[in-house]
Amino acid sequence: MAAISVRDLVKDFRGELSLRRRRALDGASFELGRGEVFGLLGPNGAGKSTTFKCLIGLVTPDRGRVEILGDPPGPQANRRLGFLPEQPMFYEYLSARELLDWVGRLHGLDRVERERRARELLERVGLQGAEDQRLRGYSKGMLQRVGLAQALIGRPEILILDEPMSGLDPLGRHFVRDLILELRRAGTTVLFSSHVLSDAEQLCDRVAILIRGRVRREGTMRELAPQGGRGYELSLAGPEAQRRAAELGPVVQVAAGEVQIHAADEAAVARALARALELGLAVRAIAPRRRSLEEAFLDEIRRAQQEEGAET
Amino acid sequence: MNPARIAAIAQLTFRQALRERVLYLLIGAGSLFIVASLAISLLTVGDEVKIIMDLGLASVALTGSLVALLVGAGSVALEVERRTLLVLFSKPVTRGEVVLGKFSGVLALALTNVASLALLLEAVVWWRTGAADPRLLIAIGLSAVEVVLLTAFAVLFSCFSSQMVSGIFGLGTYLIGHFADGLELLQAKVEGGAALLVRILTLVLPNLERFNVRAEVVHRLPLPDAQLALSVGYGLAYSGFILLLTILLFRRRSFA
Repeated sequence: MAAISVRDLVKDFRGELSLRRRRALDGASFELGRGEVFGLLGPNGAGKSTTFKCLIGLVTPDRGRVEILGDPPGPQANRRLGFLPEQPMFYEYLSARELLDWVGRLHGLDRVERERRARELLERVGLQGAEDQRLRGYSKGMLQRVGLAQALIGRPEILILDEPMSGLDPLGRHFVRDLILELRRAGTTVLFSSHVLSDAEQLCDRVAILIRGRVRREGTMRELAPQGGRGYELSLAGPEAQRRAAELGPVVQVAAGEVQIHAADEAAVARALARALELGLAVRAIAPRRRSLEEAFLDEIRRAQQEEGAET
Repeated sequence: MNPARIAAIAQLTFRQALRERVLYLLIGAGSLFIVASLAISLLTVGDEVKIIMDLGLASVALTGSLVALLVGAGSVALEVERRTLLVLFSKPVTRGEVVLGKFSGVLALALTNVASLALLLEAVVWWRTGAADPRLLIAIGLSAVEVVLLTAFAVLFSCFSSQMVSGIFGLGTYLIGHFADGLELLQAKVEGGAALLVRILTLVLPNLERFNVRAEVVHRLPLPDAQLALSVGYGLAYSGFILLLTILLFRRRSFA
């Protein structure tokens, strides 16, 4: 059984004061296996948050089907699920400890278990010492940590994180990345959305690219950003290399005292390398040129725009 | 429906409502009015205690109703506006538990307010006459039933509109509800389609005047038990219906 199954999801919203409907989801489909870390990527307005709201039962789709560990969205499924909304807002007059205690009550934990879980999680997210401070005085990073703690209190089998890195400093992002990796090791299924594609590259087993409410691509990093077929890059260092790089092949990039040369195949690599050694240039690295996830992502957006242009 | 989860939501709602400034303004105004009734009663000859009771009971009923309507108006709407609902709904709670939790929390606060002002009123009457009047409790009890009904309406409106719109709808319901006797009079004077419309309004809208027995209590007029039981039953049944309607409609609501 899949951890999460989303099939042909369609959702239209009507504006507050207008009768015109806006399609937020247009047949979105994807599936997560148990223990998988899955990234839902997409530009603003792609429908990522709406998909998550369908998963937690906050939004009822107009068409399509959602299953979480075989259950439809709702209280039963939410027992086994933890959710961190984008830019989470909490009851600001509560302390972190009080919030976790309250969430624990909603999960049906007894007092002893609630206290134990709260202590454990506050330590895990690095909030010990601030647990009795009102949430109104918390920084954005601290709120994100409380958000993670409240999502984890019911020992969820599935964790859904909506833009968990958004607005965090490098330390905060590092913390969230480590936590996701730790949860993966423990067998938790993690579904998260992110604008930061390098995070998805580092963390995800698979990703789906969602554009205008439809999944345009889905697969592993290798499938979406294949290594082969894109040639190689030679990295050369020093001012002499920068001056004579063009003699070796097309220059891809010049930065920080290094220059990158593109070689289309192994034969081109051998020729460029021989010429570099002949000229006495310092060769730093030779690596296959990889299509980055960012390139795959931008390609999909361009393709979607072209298709839309052709339709209109 | 899980009573523990309803209690958890109710407690948080109660605590949240304690932070509303309007609550303290209303309690302050209600208390001041009860105390001021002592001075106002001096302006009359012979009926001082009746004036104190009448003004005091009106103050208890009005303050309790306004607390229910204004605090209840924000009970769900503020969760939506402040986006705290995202956290609440991602937990294993049903929409029905949220509605009943919110209703219980607001009701507990409004009834605490009614009980506090009722105590103050009894204290003022005792200070003025040397004895508390147990008949006041009948009028206060019916005011409490009115508060139950108005809380149910406030939560209904709050589930589907902003705090301000809910407040306006709530106050509208309060005014129309106290004008219901007037609607019945109007029904007798109009004909045709207009009569039918008034008839429907009379049936659908709550008649809050059923809970007003201040004149009977103050002037020591008879109050049949059957009439009291009918009023209490009407209030509780109407509240139950509104809550059920709220749960059914709220279950269908999507949050963009």
